[in-house]
Amino acid sequence: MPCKEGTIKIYLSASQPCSTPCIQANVGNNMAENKARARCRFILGCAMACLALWVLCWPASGQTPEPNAKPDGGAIFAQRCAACHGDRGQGIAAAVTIAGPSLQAEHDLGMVMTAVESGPSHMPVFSRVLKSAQIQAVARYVTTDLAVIPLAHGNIGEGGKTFRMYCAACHRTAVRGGVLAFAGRNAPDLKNKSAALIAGTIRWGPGTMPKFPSSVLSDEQLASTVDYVRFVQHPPNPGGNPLKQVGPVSEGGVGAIAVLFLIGITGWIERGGKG
Amino acid sequence: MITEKIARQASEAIDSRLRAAKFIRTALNHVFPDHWSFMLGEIALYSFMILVVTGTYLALFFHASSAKVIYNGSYHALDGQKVSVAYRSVLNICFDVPAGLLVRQMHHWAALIFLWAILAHMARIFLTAAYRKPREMNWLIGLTLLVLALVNGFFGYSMLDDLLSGTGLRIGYAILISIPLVGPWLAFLFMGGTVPNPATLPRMFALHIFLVPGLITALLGLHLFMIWRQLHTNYPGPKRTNRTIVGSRLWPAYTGKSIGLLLLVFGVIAGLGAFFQIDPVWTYGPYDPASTMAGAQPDWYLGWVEGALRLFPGVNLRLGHWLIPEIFFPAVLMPSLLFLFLYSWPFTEKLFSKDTGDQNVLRLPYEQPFLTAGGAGLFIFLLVLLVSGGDDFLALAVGGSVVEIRTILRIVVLIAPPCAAVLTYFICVRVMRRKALRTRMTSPEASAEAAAPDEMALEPRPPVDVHELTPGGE
Repeated sequence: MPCKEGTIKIYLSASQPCSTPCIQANVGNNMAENKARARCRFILGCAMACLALWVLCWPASGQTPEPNAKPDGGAIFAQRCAACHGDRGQGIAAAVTIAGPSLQAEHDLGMVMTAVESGPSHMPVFSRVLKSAQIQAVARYVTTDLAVIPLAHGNIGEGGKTFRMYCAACHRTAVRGGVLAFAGRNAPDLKNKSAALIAGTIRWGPGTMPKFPSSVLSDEQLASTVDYVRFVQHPPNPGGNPLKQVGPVSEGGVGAIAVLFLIGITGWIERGGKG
Repeated sequence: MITEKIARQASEAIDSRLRAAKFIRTALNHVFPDHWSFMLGEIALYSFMILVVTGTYLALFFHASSAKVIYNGSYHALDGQKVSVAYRSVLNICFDVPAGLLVRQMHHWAALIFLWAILAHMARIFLTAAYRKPREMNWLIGLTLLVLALVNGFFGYSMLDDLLSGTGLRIGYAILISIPLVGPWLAFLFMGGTVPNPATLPRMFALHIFLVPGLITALLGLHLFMIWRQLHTNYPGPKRTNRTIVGSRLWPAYTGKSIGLLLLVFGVIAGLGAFFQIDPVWTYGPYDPASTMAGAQPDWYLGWVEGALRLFPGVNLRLGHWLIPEIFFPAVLMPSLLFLFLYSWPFTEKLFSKDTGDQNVLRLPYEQPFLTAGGAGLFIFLLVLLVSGGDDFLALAVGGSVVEIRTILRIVVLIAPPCAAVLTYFICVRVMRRKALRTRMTSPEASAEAAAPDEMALEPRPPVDVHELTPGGE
């Protein structure tokens, strides 16, 4: 691989969640950081180009054992994934090639398969390298053997605090999603998302969403946050229709309808209660 | 028979001491005109009464203190979290105080309805030119009541110390300090310095429950006294002149109507409080300056200021070494100009009007097309701003990009008001012509007038012949 050690360090600083605008405001930014980021983007681009070439030119001879044998997920992982994600999926902070995030919170089979097939952000695309059975086997291996971070028994109170600190600025406190100032990309509604999916997404950071590696959110905080989101998906309702959890916008609308109704009532009163 | 006797004796006993009979007799015979649009202000009056009653109950349980405590209560999702005393007391009201949540929701709904009703009442006054002499002073009092209601609504929204209200308070603080020269001093006066600080909540609480409601009550009394003293206005109609008033007496007809409206307003607000959740502070969580939430809006009555903030471009003005930040223009200057216009309108209007003396007969909106058109334009302007205040939810609803929607709204806010004004103007003129025509067609003395050559244009055309409409016909 054409990557130098210095490259990796700069790249790691860019992979921190500080690179998104909302968190950036808390951290503050300066010229030096911007310059470093621009430089690391350039180097990262070069690295990705090399990687893409490497993946495309991969000789087809490497695959094709017996077609009917059940693929061994662990073996595939050791061969294809461990270099970046670590041999136990713990993620690599600074290693020989490109650092991959921890997979120990990836409990969602479908999401891991999607990631292997499509290669999100700078991960290589494996859809032309691995067969679908192999992809399924390695995803199953990741979600059953490597995903060791427990998702139950977090502290909801702490999770709420973390959620308000890191997540509510885009997803709203009601976890019903919100808009972002990026064309057409909005923070999705989390109402029907499974705990496994939420945990993996927090660590992975798909699309515009920042990553939250274990240096930012500990395993306990992750479990607590997932617990909190699962709780707010069906919040306790002490009274009344929640009006889709939209807040003052829908409340103002209902107030306007109520006043129109009352104005109608004044007319009804003036007609002597008739009609 | 016995009750009648007791009532007579009691009233005689009272009258011999207070000499109230004469006053009460005139009062009960006071005549109010009958029209639904004269009851809009009463909706506001009754929702204010509900605000006072529910607010008194809430004040028993609310503690305006930003001291931090560890929450361990009925809402388990916040167990062990550091929250302010104020926020904890609101959670207690919601989950532990008997009928606390119902009363709190009624209080908040009543506030929203109070402001909507004031707006409807004010629109009626404006569109029928009821602010003309001798009622200019009451227009000023009414406007002051609106300002006080807006301010008190903001205080009530902001003092719960949840994440939503804390975010709103930060914006309010930013708006306040953006005022050149006096801004920071005003912030020290009303908020005790930079927000959040321990002085803010107690200060807002005292203003919210004592000073501002006291002022509102006093001004409301004056408002009603002046209506009483000057008599109510009338819509034009038979026997209705600047010296006569046609309607029903205070007792029994008007009392019955008004009490009926009171009960219905109370019923609607109680129904809203029971069946529709408002301001779920437990979902928002406690305020923390490091956290924020998407989808944060003020209550609707300040939504137009929020919308103006969102639409206004980021332009700072530098005067020498002074900086006037961008939020000054949409959030301070624009509302100030709006209220300056409204406060001065009865006096400005005199420059264009030919009216002299007291005006007790109202104009109908279509009889003053220019004014109605202006009112419609202003209404559409504020409505577009209000919608812009929720443009993020608009983007979510239509599935578009908020950036593009905001660009569209920036264009709409400039184009829609003049269009609405022009359209309203032509509608008014059309209605006026049609009404004039109908009067001439029906009243015998006017038909002679209609025969005058310069009025011929107003005559209806003869009905269109059916044959002309068939295609290919002659």
